[in-house]
Amino acid sequence: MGQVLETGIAMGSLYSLMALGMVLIFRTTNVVNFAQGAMAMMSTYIAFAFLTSLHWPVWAALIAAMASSLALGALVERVFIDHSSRPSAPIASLIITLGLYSVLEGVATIIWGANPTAFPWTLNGIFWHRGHLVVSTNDAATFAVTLILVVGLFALLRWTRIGLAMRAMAQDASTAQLMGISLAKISSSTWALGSALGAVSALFLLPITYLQPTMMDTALLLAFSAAVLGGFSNLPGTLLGGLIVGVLESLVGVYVSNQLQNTVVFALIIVVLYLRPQGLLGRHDIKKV
Amino acid sequence: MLKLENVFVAYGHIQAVRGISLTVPDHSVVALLGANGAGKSTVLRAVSGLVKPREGNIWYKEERLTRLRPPRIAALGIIHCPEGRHVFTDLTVDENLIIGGYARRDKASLRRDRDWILGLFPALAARLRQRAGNLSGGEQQMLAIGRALMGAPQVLLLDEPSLGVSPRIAHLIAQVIGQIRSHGTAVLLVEQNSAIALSVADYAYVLQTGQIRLQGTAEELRHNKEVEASYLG
Amino acid sequence: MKRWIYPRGVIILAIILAIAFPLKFGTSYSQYTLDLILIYGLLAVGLMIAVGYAGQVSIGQSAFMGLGAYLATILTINDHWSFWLALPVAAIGAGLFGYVIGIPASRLETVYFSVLTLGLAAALPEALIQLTSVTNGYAGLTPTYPTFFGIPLRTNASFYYVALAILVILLWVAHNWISGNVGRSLVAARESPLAAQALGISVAQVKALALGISAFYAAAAGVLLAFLNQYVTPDNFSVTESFTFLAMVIVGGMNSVWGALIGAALFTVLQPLTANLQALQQVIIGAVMIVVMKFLPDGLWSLGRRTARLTRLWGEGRLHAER
Repeated sequence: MGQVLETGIAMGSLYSLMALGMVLIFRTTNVVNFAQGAMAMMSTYIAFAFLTSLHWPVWAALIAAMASSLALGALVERVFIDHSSRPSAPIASLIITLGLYSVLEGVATIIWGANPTAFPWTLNGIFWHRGHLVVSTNDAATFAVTLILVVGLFALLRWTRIGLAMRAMAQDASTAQLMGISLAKISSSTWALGSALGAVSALFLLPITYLQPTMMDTALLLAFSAAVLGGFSNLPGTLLGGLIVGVLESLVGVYVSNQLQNTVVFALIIVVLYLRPQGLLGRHDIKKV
Repeated sequence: MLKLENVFVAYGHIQAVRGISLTVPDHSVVALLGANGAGKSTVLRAVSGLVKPREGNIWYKEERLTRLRPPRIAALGIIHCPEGRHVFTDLTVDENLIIGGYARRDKASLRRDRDWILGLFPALAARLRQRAGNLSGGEQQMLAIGRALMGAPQVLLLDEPSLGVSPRIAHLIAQVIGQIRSHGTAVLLVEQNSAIALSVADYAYVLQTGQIRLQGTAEELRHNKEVEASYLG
Repeated sequence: MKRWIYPRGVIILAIILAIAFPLKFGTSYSQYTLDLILIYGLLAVGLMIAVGYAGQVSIGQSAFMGLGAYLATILTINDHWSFWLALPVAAIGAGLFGYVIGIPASRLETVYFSVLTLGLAAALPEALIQLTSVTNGYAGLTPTYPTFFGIPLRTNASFYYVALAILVILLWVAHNWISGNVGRSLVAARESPLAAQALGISVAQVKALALGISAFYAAAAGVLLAFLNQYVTPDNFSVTESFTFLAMVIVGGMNSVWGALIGAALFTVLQPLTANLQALQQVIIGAVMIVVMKFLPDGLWSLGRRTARLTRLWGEGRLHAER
């Protein structure tokens, strides 16, 4: 049981990171990024390419992956997202991110093939154990990195200029402009940041999913449900939502069936939408249609 | 000096502003009066770049504002304090003020302005750490003005500051507008309440269905019956 | 909103041509493709109502299609129902299901709708595999041939007429919905939710209804597909199918029935060309979605309409008067 929880929390942390990136992007630019997982997958393949084709050292390849994910996020925002205030703009952007998801998976399959490959470098071994409870090195690193990133993210939003601008833009973009905030800059930065959070999540999921074009499909769905649990706006709620989803997945996998995760997640989304549409920690004044 | 030359603005097929020319000299308060829907707010939105005019030019000193995006215009010192306050309700009072000074880098002058603003609105000083959403309507209006002042405006575009606030606060705001002018900032003031506006303005324009119907010094307009009439359409 | 304004003669001509078509080009393979065009056309029209009219991007059409296919198949095998009864029951059942799950999401921003339907599309194949006792798991099921007054409809051509008849009936139903109260409420709810509410339209209910309608069409298409192929497996209804369906609607035009049909025909004809290159297909589908949304948000159909209008204006020598 303890082990099941540990695994769930480790996986859940990664879903939280994905979801935090998506919610950040959604709140600031009003676009829900269905390509979040596919973009993260691309970054891990880029790390893979640097490691195997160019024989870069691991640390350099990982830095390259992170840099590419930041760049990819900003690029996608610049090139594809509809910034107009047309009423159909959010739907157009949503469809474009769906299209991007399809394109990126297809391109990755054409370049690297559809078969799962082991990433050439992993964090092996056991970090800590007592009795039956084992914390692998990968899990320990997951916890540490998640903690650092979450604290960093909250500090960024709370205390930095750019974080403040993101929050202002999330609330009222047109007024934020009047304060001298460049919406273009802030929205590219938000996409870069959101994309990078996804990439970190993908890198730590590698030992479980292996490297393959569809590696992030399940994670995308689980991250979405985490975002739903957070009411698509509340960041602490999203974090908590990710952990809940991770633990739930782990429990169902062990005690029910490891091939019912999507079904359980779907049921969870339905239940949450019926019972707490504003999310776990959400206030009642959510934006409605 | 801010100068509008024959400005036309349309939203889709609706012509909101039809050929307006006006000037806001440095160190002066200019009022734009008129009934609801006369196009007053649209004039401010055109100046701050939120809408682009179909025709005409807007100049500030040598700079043609019609080509620039809103953040650039704000950085030139033309700050728009929008109608309905639009304070960032999820942010604290303090954070709202910081956002107001977003385009400025000089810490010392920012601190000086902040102290000056909190002196103008002592009610805000007591509530720096509260969420702006928890403020009363009058306090939110003060915050909106304070936030705009944090941008160190050369020209302040002030839209309906007396709307939905108590007479006491409307009076306070009128006083503050006077202080802003003596601070060296020109003000383009949009108001439905012509009595308040004419009490602080040097010069005023009366708008009707997107055109200037009357103009003159505040003194002249105060005694002009047509000003009243223009509100009735 | 755009109404269906076209001469009645054109429709009658189209139906006659559609009926005559197999007699001329009756190879079994092209006949099969024609059948698929009708089936996907049916699905696309339903999805068009959700996306174009209600502004709700459903990624769950593959699931509704699968639901309809499995329901009808199981009813005919296990309970020996007739195809003609199983078809409406499965379609209505899936439609109700779509409506019920659509209710909570419809109260919220569009993103919830997409997430929910994505979840459904991911869950259905998995659930079908798990429910082996009813669905036979990976191995799938074989429905019994539909019969028409005792004659089994075994050929692609005979099936074509079944599909055509159902398509015509359901297009007529869609037309009535769109041009009637449902369509007007949907457009009102999309364009100005507050005004719609003031008129007594429940925006959430109307949007949920749109998902119900689109689920109904997808399920009807699913039933036809199952009986045409004589085979259903969970693999037929994966999430990627939903992407193709969305692309069909987007390419054709999000708020026109003809656009949806054109989109469906286009993708069905092109699909075999890239059948061996699934990845390439994914790239094409995604790229098409992006390019159309970016440069032609009203789809190919609007292009046709615009050309027609320009030609007419040009003929009348009024082109210069238009801005």
